Amino acid sequence: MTTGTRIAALLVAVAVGSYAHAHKPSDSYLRVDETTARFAAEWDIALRDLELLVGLDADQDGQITWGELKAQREAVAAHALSRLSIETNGEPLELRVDDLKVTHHSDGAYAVLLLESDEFDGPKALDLRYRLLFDVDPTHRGLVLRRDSESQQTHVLSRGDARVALSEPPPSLWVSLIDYVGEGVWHIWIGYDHILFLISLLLPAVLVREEDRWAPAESFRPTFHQVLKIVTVFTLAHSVTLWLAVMEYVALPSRLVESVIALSIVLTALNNLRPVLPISGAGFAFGFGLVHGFGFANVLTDLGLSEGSLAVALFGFNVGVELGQLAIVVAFLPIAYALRKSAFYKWGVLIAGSLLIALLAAIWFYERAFNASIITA
Amino acid sequence: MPIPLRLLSVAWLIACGGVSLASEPYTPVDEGEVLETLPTEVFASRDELTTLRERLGADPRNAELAAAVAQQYVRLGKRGGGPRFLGYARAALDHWWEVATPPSAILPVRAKLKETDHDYAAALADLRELVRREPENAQAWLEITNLHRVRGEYDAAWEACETLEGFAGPIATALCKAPLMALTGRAEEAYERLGETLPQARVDEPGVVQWMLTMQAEIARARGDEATAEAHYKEALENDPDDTYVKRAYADYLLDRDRAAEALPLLRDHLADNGAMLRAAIAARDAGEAGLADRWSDQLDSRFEETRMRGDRPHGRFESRFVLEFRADPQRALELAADNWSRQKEHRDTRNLLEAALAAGDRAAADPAIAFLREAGTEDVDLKRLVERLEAE
Repeated sequence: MTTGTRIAALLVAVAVGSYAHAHKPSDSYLRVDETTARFAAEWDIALRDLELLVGLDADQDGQITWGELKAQREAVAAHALSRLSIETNGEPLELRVDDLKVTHHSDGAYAVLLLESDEFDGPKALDLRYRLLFDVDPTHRGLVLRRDSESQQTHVLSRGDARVALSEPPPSLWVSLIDYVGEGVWHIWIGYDHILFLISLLLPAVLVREEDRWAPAESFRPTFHQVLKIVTVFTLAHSVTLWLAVMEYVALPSRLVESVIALSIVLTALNNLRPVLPISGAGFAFGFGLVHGFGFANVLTDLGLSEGSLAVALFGFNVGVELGQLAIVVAFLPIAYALRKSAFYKWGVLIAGSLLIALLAAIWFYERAFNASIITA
Repeated sequence: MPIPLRLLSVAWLIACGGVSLASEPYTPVDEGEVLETLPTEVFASRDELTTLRERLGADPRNAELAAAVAQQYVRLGKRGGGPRFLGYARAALDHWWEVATPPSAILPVRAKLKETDHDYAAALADLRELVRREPENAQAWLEITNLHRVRGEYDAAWEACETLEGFAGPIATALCKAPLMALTGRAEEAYERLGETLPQARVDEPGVVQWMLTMQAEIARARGDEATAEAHYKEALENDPDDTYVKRAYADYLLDRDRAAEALPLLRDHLADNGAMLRAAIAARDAGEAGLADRWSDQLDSRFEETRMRGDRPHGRFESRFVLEFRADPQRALELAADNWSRQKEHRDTRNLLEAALAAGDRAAADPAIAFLREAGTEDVDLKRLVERLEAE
C-alpha cells in the first residue's frame, strides 16, 4: 500500500462520525393482520433492497418505475417467500403473495407484498422465522408489527434474534378451568363487599332470636344448618344472575349494581341490630344474592371471554367464588360458635361489628351512587 | 394533466407518514411512475460491485480481499449509498467480526465500521492493535487522532499526532495537526499550515485536497474571517460538487447570515441525508417556503420515529437541533444535546448544546461545555457569541 492510498482512506474517517447516522439503515415492515383463522400480513420491502436482491432496474437508467417493479413481481415474491417461514407445530404454513402494491416510508419507496395463507381450523401456535437480507446486510432489521392483537406490538428481528411466536397454542380446557377457579377465589378475597355481606349474614347465625332478643344457639347442628342454608341460597341466587348477565340475557348498569350491593350490606347489617324487614337471613341471602351475581358478572366479562371458553369460565369462576366463601365460613364459624354465649360476642361482635359494617357500606353506597370519593377501599 | 396530481398525492402521503408508518399501500396507475432513484455513485459502480461480490463469494476467507471489498462498500456508502453499504461491508467481514485479533488487513475497516456505529471504544481498540503490529501505519495514527479529537480528548489526540510526526511526511502531519491546533488556541497557525501544505498535496495527495479546503473554510469561519471562509467553501464545492459534508457546512454558514434562499438549492438534491434535510427544512422555513419546511420537517420526524422503531437511537446531533428548531421544546432539545455532547464534542455538538441551553434559559447546563472550550482555548466566533449571551443571562 502506498502512503497515498493510506491517507486517502482517512477522508472517510474524518467526516464519518455523523454520516452513518444521517441515514436510516435497511428495515422491512411486516404488518400482521390475522393469526387466528389464517395468516394475513402486509410486508413492506425497500425497493433499494429488492434492487440488490433480485434486480429491478431493467433498463439500467438508475430509476425504478412501477412497470419495472411489476415485471419482477414473481421474482420478488419468490425471494421474499424463501426468506420468511411460518410454522405451526413444526409444519410450515404455505404462504402466497396475493397482491403487490407500493408505499412510501420516511426513507423511500417500498414494495408491499400482501401475504396470506389458507384458512386453518381454530387458533394455532404460529412461529415466524425471518431471514431476509441477513446474509448480505447484518444490520438489516425485520420489524414485525402486530395489528391483530389488542395492544400494538412491535418485534424487532435481527440476525441473532430472528424468530417470534405470533400466537401461543390455546390453553387446554383444564388449564382454563383452573385459571377461572383462581380468578373466582381471588375476586372474593379482594372483593371486600362480598366478604362483608357474607359476614353480616353469618354474624347472627350462631344465635337465635327469642322474644326480640338474641340468645345463643343451643347446639351446633341447627347453627350449621342455618349457615348451610344461607350459603346455599346465596350461591343459588348469584349463580342465576351471573349466568343471565354473562349470557347477555339481562344487562344492568354497573353503577346501579355496585350501589345496590353496598345498600344490601347496610340493610343486612342493620337487620342484625333490630329486624327491620320481616325477612329471614336466607331471604336476605337470596334477594341480595341476585344483585351480587351481577357484580360477579362484571368481573368475569372484564377478564375477557371467548365463545369457546364461556361454559368453562362460568363454571370455574363460580366454583372459585364458592371456595372463597367456604374459606370465610370455615374461618368464621368455629370462633363465632365458641364465643356465642359471651356478652362480648353479642355487644362487641354482633352489635358493634354490624354497626361498623353498616357505616362502611353506607359510605360505599354514597360513593358509588353519587360518584363521590370519601375513602379509597 | 394527471401527473402533478399524482405527485401531489405522493407528497401528501409522505407528509402523512409522520406518525410512524408510511402511507396506505396503493397501486400506481402509470407504469412509468418513477418510484425510486438509485444514488448515482452506486449506480455507476454497479458492475464493479458485482465483480467484487463474486470474487469474495468464491473465496470468503481471504482477509485481504474481504477488507478490500469492505473498504469499497464503505466508500460507496459515504458517496451516497447510505448505511446499507456499511451493512454490506460488515457482511464481507462477517468471518472476523467477533474475532479478538483478526488479520491486520481487517483491523482498519472493522474499526471504521465500529466508529460509524458510534462504538468509539471498540474502534480505538482495533486501531491501537493495528499500530502495535505496524508502528508506522500513518492512516491508523491519523484515525486514532481523529477519534480522540471527536470525543474531545485533545491530550490523547496530540500524543497520537506527535507519534505520527516522528515518522510521517509533512502532509500527513498537517492533516493530523491542523484540526487540533484550530481547536486549541492556534487557529491562525493551523490555517497557515494548511495553506503551506496545500500546493504539495495537490501534486502528491489529490485525495486529501477537498478535506484541506474544507478545513481552511471552517477555520476561517471560526476566526470570523467571513470573506476567506466563503471563498474556501466555494472552492471546495467547485472541487467536489457532490460533497455533502461541505454543502452542509456551507449551508450552516449561509443560514447564520440570513441567506436561506442561497442555502436551499445546495441541499435539495441530498434529502436522503438527515443532516442535509434538517438544514433544508430550516432554509425553507427561513426563506418563507412554509409548505416545504413542513413537509421536510415531518418527514425527518418520521425518520427519527422509524429509527427508534428498529431499536436504534436517532443521532442526537440532528435530533436536538430538530427539536429546537421545529418542535419549540428547548428543554427536550437541551436533554438531547447534552446527552450527545457527553459522547462527542465537535463544533456542531457544542453549538447545539449552547443554543439549547440559551433557549431553555438553563445556563448551568452549558457550564461543562463553556469550561471545556476555555480549557482547550478554542477560538470560534460563533461559539463565543453564544457563550457571551449565556453569561449575560
